[in-house]
Amino acid sequence: MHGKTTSFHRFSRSKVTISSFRNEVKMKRLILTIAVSVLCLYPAKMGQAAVQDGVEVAHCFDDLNDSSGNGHTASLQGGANLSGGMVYFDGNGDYVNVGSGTWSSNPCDGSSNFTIAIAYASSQTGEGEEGAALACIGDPSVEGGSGHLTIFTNNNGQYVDCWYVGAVLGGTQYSGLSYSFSDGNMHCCFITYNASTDMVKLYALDGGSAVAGPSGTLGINTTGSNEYPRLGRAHDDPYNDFATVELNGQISLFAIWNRIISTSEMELVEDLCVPPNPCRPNNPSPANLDEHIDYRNLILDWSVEGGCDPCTTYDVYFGTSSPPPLQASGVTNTDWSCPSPLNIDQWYWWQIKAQVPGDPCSPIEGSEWKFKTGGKAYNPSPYDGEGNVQTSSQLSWSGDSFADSYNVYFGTTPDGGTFQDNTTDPCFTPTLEAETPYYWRIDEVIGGSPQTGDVWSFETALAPPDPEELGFDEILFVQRPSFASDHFYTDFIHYDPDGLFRSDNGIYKYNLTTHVIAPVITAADMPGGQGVFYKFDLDWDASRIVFDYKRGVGYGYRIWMCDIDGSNLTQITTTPPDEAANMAEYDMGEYTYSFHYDDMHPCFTQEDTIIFTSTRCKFTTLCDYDGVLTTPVLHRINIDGTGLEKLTDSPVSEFAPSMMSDGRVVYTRWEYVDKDSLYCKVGYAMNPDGSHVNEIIGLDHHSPPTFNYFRQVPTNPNKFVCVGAPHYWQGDNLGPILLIDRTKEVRTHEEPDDPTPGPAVTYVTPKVHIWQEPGWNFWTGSGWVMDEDGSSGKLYTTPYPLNETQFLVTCKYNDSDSWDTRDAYDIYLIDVSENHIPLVSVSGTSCWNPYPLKTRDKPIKINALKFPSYVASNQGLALVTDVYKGLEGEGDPPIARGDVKYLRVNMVVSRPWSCHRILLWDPVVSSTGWAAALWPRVQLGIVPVEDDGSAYFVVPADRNIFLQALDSEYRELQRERTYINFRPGEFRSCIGCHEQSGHAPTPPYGSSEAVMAFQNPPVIPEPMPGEAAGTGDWAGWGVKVLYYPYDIQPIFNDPCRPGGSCVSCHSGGSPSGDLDLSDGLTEAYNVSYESLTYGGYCGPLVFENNDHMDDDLTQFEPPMYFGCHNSYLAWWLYNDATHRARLTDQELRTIFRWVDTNYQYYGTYYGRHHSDHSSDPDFRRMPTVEEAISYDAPSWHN
Amino acid sequence: MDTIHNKRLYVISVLILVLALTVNARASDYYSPAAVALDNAGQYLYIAEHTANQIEEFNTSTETVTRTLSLDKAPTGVVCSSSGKLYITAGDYNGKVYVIDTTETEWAVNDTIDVGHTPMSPVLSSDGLHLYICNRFDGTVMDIGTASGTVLSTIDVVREPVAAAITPTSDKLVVVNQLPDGAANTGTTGCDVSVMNTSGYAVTNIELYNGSTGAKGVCISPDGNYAYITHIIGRYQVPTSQLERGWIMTNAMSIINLNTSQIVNTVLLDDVEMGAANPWGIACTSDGSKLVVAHSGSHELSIIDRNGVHNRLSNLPYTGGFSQTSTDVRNDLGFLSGLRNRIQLPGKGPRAVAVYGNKAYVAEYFSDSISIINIDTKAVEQALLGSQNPMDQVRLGEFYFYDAQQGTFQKWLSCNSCHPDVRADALNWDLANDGYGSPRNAKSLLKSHYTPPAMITGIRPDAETAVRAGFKFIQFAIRTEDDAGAVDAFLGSVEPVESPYLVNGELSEAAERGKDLFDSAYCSVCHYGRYYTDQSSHDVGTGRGGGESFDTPTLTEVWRTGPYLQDGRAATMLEVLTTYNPGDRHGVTSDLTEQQRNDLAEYVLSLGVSQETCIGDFDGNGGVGPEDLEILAAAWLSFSGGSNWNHVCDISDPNDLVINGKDFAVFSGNWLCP
Repeated sequence: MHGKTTSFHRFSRSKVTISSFRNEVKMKRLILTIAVSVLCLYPAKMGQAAVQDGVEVAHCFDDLNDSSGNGHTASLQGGANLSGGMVYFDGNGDYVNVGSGTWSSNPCDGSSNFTIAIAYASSQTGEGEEGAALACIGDPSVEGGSGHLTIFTNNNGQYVDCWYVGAVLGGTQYSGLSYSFSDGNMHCCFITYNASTDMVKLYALDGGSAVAGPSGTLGINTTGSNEYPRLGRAHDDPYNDFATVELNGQISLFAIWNRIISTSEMELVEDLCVPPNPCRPNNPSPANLDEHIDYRNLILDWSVEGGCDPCTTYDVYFGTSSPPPLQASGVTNTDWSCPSPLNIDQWYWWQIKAQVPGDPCSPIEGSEWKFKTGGKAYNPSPYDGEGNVQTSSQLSWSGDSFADSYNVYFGTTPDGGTFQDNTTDPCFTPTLEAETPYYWRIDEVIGGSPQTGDVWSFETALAPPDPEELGFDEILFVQRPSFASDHFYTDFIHYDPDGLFRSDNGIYKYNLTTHVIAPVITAADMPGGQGVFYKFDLDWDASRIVFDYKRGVGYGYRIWMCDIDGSNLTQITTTPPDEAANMAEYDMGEYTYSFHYDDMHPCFTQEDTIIFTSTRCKFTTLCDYDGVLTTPVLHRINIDGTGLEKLTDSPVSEFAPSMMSDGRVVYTRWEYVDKDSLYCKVGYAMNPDGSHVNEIIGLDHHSPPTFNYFRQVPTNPNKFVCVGAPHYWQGDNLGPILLIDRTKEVRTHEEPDDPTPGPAVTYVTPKVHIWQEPGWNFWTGSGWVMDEDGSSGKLYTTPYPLNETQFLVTCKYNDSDSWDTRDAYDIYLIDVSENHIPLVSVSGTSCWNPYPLKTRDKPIKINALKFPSYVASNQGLALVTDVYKGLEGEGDPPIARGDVKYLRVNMVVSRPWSCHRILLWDPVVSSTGWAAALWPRVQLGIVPVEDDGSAYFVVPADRNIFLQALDSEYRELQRERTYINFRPGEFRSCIGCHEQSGHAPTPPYGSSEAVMAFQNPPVIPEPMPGEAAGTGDWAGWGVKVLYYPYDIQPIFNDPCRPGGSCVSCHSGGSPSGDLDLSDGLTEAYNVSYESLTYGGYCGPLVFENNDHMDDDLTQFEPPMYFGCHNSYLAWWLYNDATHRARLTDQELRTIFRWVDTNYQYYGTYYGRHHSDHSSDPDFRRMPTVEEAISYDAPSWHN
Repeated sequence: MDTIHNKRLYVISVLILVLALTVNARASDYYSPAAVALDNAGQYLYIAEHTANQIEEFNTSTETVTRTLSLDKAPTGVVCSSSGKLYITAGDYNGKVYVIDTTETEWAVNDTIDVGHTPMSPVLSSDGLHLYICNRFDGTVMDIGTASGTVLSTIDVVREPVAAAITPTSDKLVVVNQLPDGAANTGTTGCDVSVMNTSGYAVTNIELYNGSTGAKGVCISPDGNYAYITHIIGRYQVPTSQLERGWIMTNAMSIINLNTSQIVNTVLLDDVEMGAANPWGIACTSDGSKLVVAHSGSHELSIIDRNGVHNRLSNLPYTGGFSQTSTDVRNDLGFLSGLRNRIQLPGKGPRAVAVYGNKAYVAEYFSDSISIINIDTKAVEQALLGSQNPMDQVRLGEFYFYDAQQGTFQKWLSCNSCHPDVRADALNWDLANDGYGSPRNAKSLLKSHYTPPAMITGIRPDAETAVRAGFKFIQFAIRTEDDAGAVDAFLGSVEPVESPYLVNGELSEAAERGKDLFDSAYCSVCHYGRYYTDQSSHDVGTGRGGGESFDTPTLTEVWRTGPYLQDGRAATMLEVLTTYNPGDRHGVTSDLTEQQRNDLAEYVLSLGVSQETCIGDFDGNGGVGPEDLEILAAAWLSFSGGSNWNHVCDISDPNDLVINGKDFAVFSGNWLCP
């Protein structure tokens, strides 16, 4: 039930509910007896191994004694609380020492086998929280990585997903089980250690089979003399300065065996790890934490299970503080009457202790519960202290269910104003003036007596703006109902088209003085008479608009243009000639989508061209199994409809181009070369011809995952505004409005709990964030709530900056509306002080894309440097002036000058629509839906790096290029985890790795001579030694399509190798090192591949298809974090003399290259890959280079 | 005569008449405010109007011009004493300081002091007894006693001193040298700031950060502790392939601690996404709180929080910024974030700036105007200096040459950034035109339109092509042919400045001796004609690894364009003739005595205005005759770049890139020469 959720974005994820958890607990009570017997060393379950064999310590926490009999008694530290068969930790300095002073040696010091079991519950989730430390074994007085074995359930700061369970072993982390374990439920995890192989494995169980997670060497170094386990607290987080890590949750089992227990033993233990007691008081009434309880004649109530001794009596503890004092003993019923009346608006604590005749564990304590009495109105709207309240607002509140009515006080005096009304409805409509503070109070009338409530306040919003001050009289906007998309990038797919296509949809203008709304162009004027408008742009002289329009389901968006009065309507982009054939061939009968092309988000350039994004590239998103055309990239076209040209080949999506004052175009690029797929929807800029693509804003922002609809602030070229949006649950990219300051480090962003001033990304609308999704996090006035529905706060989109402080936006102002409420969105003027001034609202529909109707300065026309000879050959030129910039001194050991010998030039292949697959798990991606590379990367060869760090080389144009810095052994030192496009003939130069966007070039060398590589003609990337060069168009290039079955597996199979083949040891029933390198087919790959990757022999795998919120591999990582230098396989083959002697240098280089590809399996999207098709003649067929990089599927692909 | 000849003669006849009607003094068309000074009370702003040859008095209260005095030379600088005396630097070769007593009812030049070559930036000691001026092309500073009106001392600085400021106690004079000195192919190069002790004239030269050039302005904090210098930093180490993020050029302010004579740091004046081209004048408010910098290329004014800059420099890394250490600052495009207001000015070409109270007065060279900026409110007013004459093509071309706003991607640079005053910035640049990987020393554009081909390698067929390529590949802008034509016209109009090596306008004795050697050493085999170039390429053994040929450069004004040779390896002309002339491939100099080499070098460095007398000898036959007239007629009324354009016929003074009556007037004056 807690199983791994799907990797495919479209699928909703399974949810674990409280009720299902409770049912699970009840079922487990049926095997209570067995559980106790196992953990307390009674005979094991029939047919199972003797679980108790080799137990060093066992705590099932019915008490603090060691059930193994070895005397390792536990002691509670800090606020740790033993209750109900569990130790409760509050995450605030509490922990449990297990046998402090009783251990003669550390049972987990690596000298012999061991197994550790922990059953725990934790609800620690969410970005930015510390990991929850379950256990730390070693000398707790020694901080740092060595000497400790730490087991944690989440540690999302840097590396491990918060829903994972993992372990820190001597400073090295192993983790990766994709189970949702931070859900507050009980789970079991096991750590096993094999001393002969020095291998650690991590197992996690969740009511099912034991599944092995990653493994690795132990690396523990215990030297302390005072080593013992400690639960619930550690200071071993190596990625957080070895900070103390706490557990906020419970532990019900902790045990160590001096052997490796079997997985069936683990399953038995896991089955039995929740220890209930039938006499433990439960089911409190009022429920724990309940509020607004009637303070009159209250009766406390509880229950026990049916198996409890009927002669049990109860002691009642009750009071206004914790722990509550004893009030009654020997109570025979399961209820007790409180003194009456209780205090108003008061917290009360209570606890029931069951006295069970004959039970040595008696009294059986229930948990400490608490409730709060009512008597005061609460939950005011506007909330207390709220600003920018609209003058049309109504006052509302929540009241106690036992209140008779409400007395309403209201006014402008801080005492709460004067009596206004008595009402039974919790609402009141006052008369409000702009920019005025107001105070109000609600007195509940209870039993005929008014109870004085709290005084609340709010302040109304600013008055409407003066058009003269704004500098324009009219605002253009799009009128249409809201979209209802499932992802940020599928707005235009319209999976939910009901009511969307209307005749009154259109582009309108609103007069700020007369308040008249007039149409510019509506769907009634367009073909079909009804349709939907998406985005538009205004020409420089404000004389005409260009817009996208879709006439209905089964039609693509097309670009149109008309004068500002609606005349001279002209269609700019037309229907491609192959669209009808494609629709006929590929349509799967899906109602809303017909495999047409969409041209969207048009933008005038200074060159009388229009840039727009379009699916005419015929690419599709990597995780999209059915191949919908969801990947638009930027195109341009002349305003007369000629000269259509694709500008980039980006492998995912590009959106929303808008012009910058310098004549470039800023747009959203979604990318994830060895980063997480959910993030990195970030801002880039390019020349209007597609050249000189440069980053505007960072590559590693997790929250929000999506930046979209960039516009440069007209009064400050360093600043940009955009909307932040989730990846899931969309309706035109909804979320906060963000302001980006390029003079700051672009990888810093504001967080509410981070007081560090000066981040590059700040919130114009700080009351909505996105830390979890699908959905948003809203500030409610008293705390943050996560809301999938979006009905807890305001949502924004399509910002237009007037200056650095004022923005026209689309806003869902009414908190109670859902994100997809069709008419929830209006036009507002907001500012950095959070003022909201309503401007445009249309009944029954929504308003989008506010745009001042005024002229703009036309930027200069940009010339990009292009070399004609390379234009002709469709190539570009790349110069790296000093690869050590950003590398030197980084990493461990630090990179030194001279270390980098080569650059590997790689190409990321976009996923073409022609690889269309409808078979869900037939992987058309390069490796797997499980982990590692999603897209095939083709190696184009290596180029030398000169002594001064320079390299100068040729690259193919209109492709996605990224580089890897290699050492003398051709192993990756650092990886460029993004890509760069070159237009034909384009020359690009950079300083080195990780140059700062705010820095002018800083070459370290002191000479006016050109860098060494630049003093010679550019080189073509060439093969590694011993490899054949390409042919045809790739003659001389070291081009290589890496295909695991053809390139790696034969190395393992080769029987002629000295000492025998790899598989001679690494296969069969007991493969050496538990590593099976045989070539048997698996569903998607083969045995050796899965054994290497799943088995944890590789190294950090970048899970590009991660669908979790707190990915940690998106951000910048230091040199040697990925690839060979952090791969156990590469390390072992290189350093172990026996193994290395069996491989040729060339084979070793081939394996290194595979490791550095992020463990790619398939080199292409083409061919059948699922083992169901193993009889197909083209099953897992090795493509040619030309086929692998072609955007048209080879004829044999079907 | 045939018909064509008839037509040509008719045309010539008509244009002789036209010639008589078009005589005009360009200097009177525009004002070109180049320098400003305030009186002690801030009541009057004195404006040196360079092309109008006049000084104007501007009442800061009424914001009107109250008095004007014409001068016989173009003023370059002005300062006002506490007693109301104006000291105005003017002229070029025979530079003058004019003294005017503003307390007199009628303005007149009360005194004239002879000074050096192109005097600039007059500065008064606090007691008014010493006047310090920069002699730009002598490379010297003069200390002038104001009581006697005599030069007390002449002190060498480095190269092209163009601005100076004095400490409040007058103990130190800070002089800004515009250009780097020495070879360009060394590890680092940069222009110098000379700090002179006024009591003993001891000079400490401080080289600015590598690549610094184009220094223009200096001011000193009221406490006398710091000097602030505006300049450019050429990022010459990288190929000129882009402008984003200051790839080619950044614009900077260096801070010097006057107590230690050390550079505190260099702060970039640009933004991440927008350059602030060509910083020129700089001033500090009297309370020391603000610095104001005029950006002559982007037509802006920066108002900088001075204390904020120092605090940030003292507390690195600063919050949210890029700079972790002090060495990061000079590359930090966001350093001034939050410390600077960048104000777009209404006029064009803001250069000189003066501050009084919370008002900054900025002289806008190309729009003949003064902008008045309230430093507190940032409000801007503009006062026009008389009637506004529309720019003619030459003036327009000059404006485009100095402009980085309309013509350059992201305002990082102007033509003037690498070619200060049409000459060279003394740096090596790696341009694409002759293939990347071979940085070449920047070349003066003087007379380039008359000495095709262009560029050191001669890769461009002519300067017209080079101008258009410069727009596209250095400024990364696509501009109109009209814009390019205007720049052609401006460049064609620029005349050489007389060499400081001349003595009373004549060759020195040494240069006279060197003149003979110029022929005997075979220099004149390639360096001949009006501009001392055969306009052909030769391999003189100065290329990288040999085998490279270079276009013979003009020697006109070569005294001003060091360092020399294609990669600036020769810091002096003597090095050209000796160290870098192995095998006598670049003239036979190996057998010359040291005296002869010095004589030859001095002759070459004396070349400026043509020594030719028979101007109009188009066919090179030694005389001006009918064949030359036929050549002139064939090019009649042609413009630069036109189908019948022939640059040799553009012999008007100045050249103007059109073959018309002006050229014919010169031609006819030399008829039948010699």
